[in-house]
Amino acid sequence: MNIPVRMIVLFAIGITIASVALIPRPAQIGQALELSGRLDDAVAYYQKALADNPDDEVTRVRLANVFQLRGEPELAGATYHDLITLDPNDVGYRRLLAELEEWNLRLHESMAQKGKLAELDRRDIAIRAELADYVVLERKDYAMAIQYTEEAVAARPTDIQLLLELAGLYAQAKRMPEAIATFERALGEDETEPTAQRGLAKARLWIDQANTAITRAQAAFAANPDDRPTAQHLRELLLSAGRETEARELEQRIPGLGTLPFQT
Amino acid sequence: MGTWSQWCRLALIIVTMAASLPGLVQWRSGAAQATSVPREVLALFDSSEAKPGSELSPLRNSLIHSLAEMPLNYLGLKLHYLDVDTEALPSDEEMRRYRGIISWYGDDRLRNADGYLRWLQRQIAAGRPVVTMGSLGASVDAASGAEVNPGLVDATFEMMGLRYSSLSEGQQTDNPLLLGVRNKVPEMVEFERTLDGELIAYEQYRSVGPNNRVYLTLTRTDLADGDSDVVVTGPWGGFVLGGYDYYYQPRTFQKRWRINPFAFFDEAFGLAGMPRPDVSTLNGSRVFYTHIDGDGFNNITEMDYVSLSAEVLLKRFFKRYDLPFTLSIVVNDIDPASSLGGERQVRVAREIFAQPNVEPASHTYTHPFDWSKPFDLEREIKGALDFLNQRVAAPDKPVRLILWSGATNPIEPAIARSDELGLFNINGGDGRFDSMRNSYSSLAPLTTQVGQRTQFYTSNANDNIYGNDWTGPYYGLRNVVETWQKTESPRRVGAMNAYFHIFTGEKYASVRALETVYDYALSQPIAPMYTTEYLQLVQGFLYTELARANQDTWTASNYGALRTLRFDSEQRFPDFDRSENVIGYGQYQGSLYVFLGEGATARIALSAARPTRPFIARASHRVLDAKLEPQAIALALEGVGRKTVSVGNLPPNTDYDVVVAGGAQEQRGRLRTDGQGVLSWTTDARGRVQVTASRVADGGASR
Repeated sequence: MNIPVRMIVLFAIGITIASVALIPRPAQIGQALELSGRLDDAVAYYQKALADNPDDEVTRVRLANVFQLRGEPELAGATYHDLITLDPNDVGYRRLLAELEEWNLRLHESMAQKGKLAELDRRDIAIRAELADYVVLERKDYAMAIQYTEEAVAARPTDIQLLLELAGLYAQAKRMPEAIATFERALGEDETEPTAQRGLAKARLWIDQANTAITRAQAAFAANPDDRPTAQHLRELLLSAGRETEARELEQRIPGLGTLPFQT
Repeated sequence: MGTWSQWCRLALIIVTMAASLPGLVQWRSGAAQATSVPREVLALFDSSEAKPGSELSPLRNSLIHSLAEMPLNYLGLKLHYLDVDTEALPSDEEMRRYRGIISWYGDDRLRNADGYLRWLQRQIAAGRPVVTMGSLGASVDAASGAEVNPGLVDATFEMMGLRYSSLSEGQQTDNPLLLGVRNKVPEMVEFERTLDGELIAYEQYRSVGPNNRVYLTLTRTDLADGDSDVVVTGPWGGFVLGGYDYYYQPRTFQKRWRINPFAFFDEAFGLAGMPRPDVSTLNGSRVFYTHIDGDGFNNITEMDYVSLSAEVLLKRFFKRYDLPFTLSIVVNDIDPASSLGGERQVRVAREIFAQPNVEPASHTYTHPFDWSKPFDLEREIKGALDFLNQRVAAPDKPVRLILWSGATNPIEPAIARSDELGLFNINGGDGRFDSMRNSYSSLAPLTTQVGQRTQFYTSNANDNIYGNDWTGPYYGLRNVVETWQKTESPRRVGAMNAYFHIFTGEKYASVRALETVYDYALSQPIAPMYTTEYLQLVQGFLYTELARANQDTWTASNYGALRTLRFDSEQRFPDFDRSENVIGYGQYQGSLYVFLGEGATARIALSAARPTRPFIARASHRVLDAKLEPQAIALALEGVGRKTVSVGNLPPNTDYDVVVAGGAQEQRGRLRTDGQGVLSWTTDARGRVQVTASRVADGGASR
C-alpha cells in the first residue's frame, strides 16, 4: 500500500497539534498537585499560570485557597484583592475576602467588604443584618443601622421580623412616629403579632407621656417666660424626647433669662 | 427627716459595722497580731431563672459566673455559689467566713422573698458588703406570686443608703423620651460602652448615705424631682441598676461592660490595698502553659499523608521546642482492643509520654460529648487512668490530670471521682478577648463550682473554637496571640495558655499556626510550666489566706505553689528587712508584684523607700534556695524551658563570675551588671539548674 507523503505529513501535524493540546497546562498541574497535597508545588504552578495569564480568575481563586491551606492568610487576602481588582463587581470574591478578614480578626476590614457587598446585592438581607449589628456594637451608629434595616425591609417588605427590628431601632433612636408606623406595618402583616402589639402600645404611651410633659412644661414656661429653671426643664424634656432643634432654640434663649426658682 | 425607726436602724448599722471591724480597732491600739482578711464572696443565683435545655448548669449560665467572677478573681476574690431557689441561706455564723455577698438576678421573683430580704438586711447590718447587680430580685414571692411587703424592700435599700419607694414602683419607666443623664463618672460607668442613646431603664433611687459614692445619676425629665442614682457604692457594698451594668446584643450574643468591673468591685468590696493572689505571674514573668486535648490522635496528617497527627506534634513540637507540654489521650484512640487503636498507636503514645518535656494526661476513655447524659463514669475516669498508667506512661511519670471532653460539663460525681484518684482537672472556660470578642466579658474565671467540687478552667480558647468546629480556618489558633496581648495590657488578667487538640497536627495550616503561636510565646518574657503546675497556682489562689498586721504589712499563708501577690495602684516597695519569705518584686502597669519564696508563710511589709538589698527582678522559673548578697548570689531554677533570671540592686557595671550547673553541664562565664545594677543570665540547661555568681575580686567595676 502506498500512503501519500502528504497524508503522512498531515497525520503527523495532527498528532503534534493534539499532543500539544493535551499537554497539561500549569494551572491543571497546580490543581493536581493541590489535590495530592503538594501545596508548595501547587503554588509554583499556579503562579506560573498566572504569569502567563494574569486574568485567569479561576486559578487565582485556587491560589488563594492554597495559601489558606498553607496557613498564609495574608497572601490569600492579597490574592482576593487582586481578584476584586480584576472584577470589582463580583460578589463571590468579596464574600471570600470578607470571611478571610473576619478569620484574621480584622473586623473592620471584613465589614468594609460586607458594606460593598450590600451595595452590590440589594437583596442580601443577611449581610444587612450583620452590618446593622456591627455598626450598633462597634460604632453606636443607630442611624446607619436603621439605613441597613430599611434596605432589608425594602428587599423583603412583608417580613415581620425585619419590620420589628426596624421599629425597635427607630424607637431606640427616638424616632417614634416612624417606630409606630413600622409596628403598624408589622401588624398589617399579622394583627396578632404580640411583639408588634406591645411595641406599638409602648411607643404610643411613650409619645403621650413625653408630649404631656412637654405641654405642661411649655405652659409653665409660657407663664414664666423669664424663669431659667423652667426653661431648663423644658429644654431637658425636649432633648430627651429627641426634639433637638426646639431644645437648641430654647437653649439660645436661656442665658438671657432670670434665675427664679423652679416652679411646677 | 427620718422616722424614729429609721434612726434606730441607722444606729444599729453603725454599731454593728464598728463591731465587725476588729482589725480597725487593733490597728488603732497598735496590736501586733494580724487580722484575717476574708477573700471569699457568697454568690447568690436563682436556678429557677435558668432556661431549660442548656447543657450547662444554671450556675455556669448565671451572670455572676459568666461576667463578674473573672474580674473578682483578678481582684483576689473567690466565689462560693448558693442557689437561692434550692438551698437554705447560710446562718449568721456561717456567714462569718465571707467577705461579702453578690447577687445578680434575671427577674424579681424569689423563693421566700420576705425571708431573703430580712436575711440580706442582717448581712448589711453586720457590715458585710452586699453588691446588688441589676435589682434586689425579691419583690415577688416565687411560690405564692404575692408581692412582698413594700416596706421590706424600701428598708433594705435604706440600709444601703438608698431611698426607694416600692409603693410608686420607683417611678419606673423604660421611656427613652423621658430619660437623661444628670451626672456620670465615665471611667466607672462607660468602661466598654458609652451611655448615649441607650438609656432604657429607670427606677428612682436617691443616695442618702453620707459615705456613698454616686457614679451615675439619671434624670426622669417629666418629674420635678426626677433624679435617680443608679450606680452607687458605699460601706455597705454596691448597687447597679439593670441596664447600666452591661450591654447585651441579642443577635450576636455579644456583651460589653458598662461599669468598670475592676474599679466597681474593688470599691464595693472594699479591696483597696489588699494583695491579690495572682496566677498570671511567676517571678515577674507571665505564666505560660500548653495543654492538648487528645482528639485526632489517629488523623493522618496532610504533612506527609503517612504520619499520625500525634506523630507530627511529637516531631515538630515536643522534640523541637524547649517548652513544657501537657498532652492527653483518648484511650479508645490507642487501645488495641478498640477498632481505632493498635500497637502503633500505643508505641507512639509511649514515645510522646516519655519525652522529658511532656506531661501525660487523660482525655477519658471514649470522649463523652455531654457529661449530663448517661455514661460509664468508672470507665471514663478510672479505666482511662489505669490504661494510660499501665500501658503508656512511665512508672515514674504517671498521669496526674484529666482534661474534660466534649461540652466540658462534668457532673459532680465525675469530678469527685477524679479528686479521689488524686487527679487535677481542667477544661471549660475558653476565654478570649480579641477584635471579634472585644470585651473582658468574654474571658473566663479561673474555676467553676460544680456542687461542692471545683472544675478548673482553661485560660484561653482552643483551635476548635478558632477553627469554627474544625471546619476552617485551620490556622485560627494563631489568633490566640491577640487575646494574650489584650490580657497583658493595660492589666495582666491571666496566664498565656496554648490550648489545642492533637488534630492540629493534621493540617499544614494548623501546624504552621502553632509554630507562629510558639514563636510568639518564646519572644515574650514567659514562665513556662506544665498544666498541673499552673493548676497548683490556681489551687494556691483558692486557698491563700491573708491577714493584715498593720497598714503596710500583710501576711500570707496556705498559698501552696502560688508565688505572686499583686498590690494594685501601689507605688511603694517591699521592705525586705521587715518582710519574710519575699525574694523579689516588680512594678508593672501601676501594680506592685511581690515574689514569694519557697516558705509556707510570707510577711510582706511595704515601704516608700526603695530597697537596697539584692532581689529577684525577674525569673522565668521557680527560684529555689535563693541567697542574694551584693558579693555573692546563689540560687536554683527548676522546670522545663530556657531559664532566665535577673537580680537587681547589685553594684552597677560590675563583673561577676557566674557558674551555671545543671544536668551534665556546667557553664562558666563572666557577666557584668547593667547601669542599674541588674545582673541577668540565661541558660538552656535542662532540669534543675544551680546558679552561683560572685563578684570579681578586683571589683571589675565601672571600667
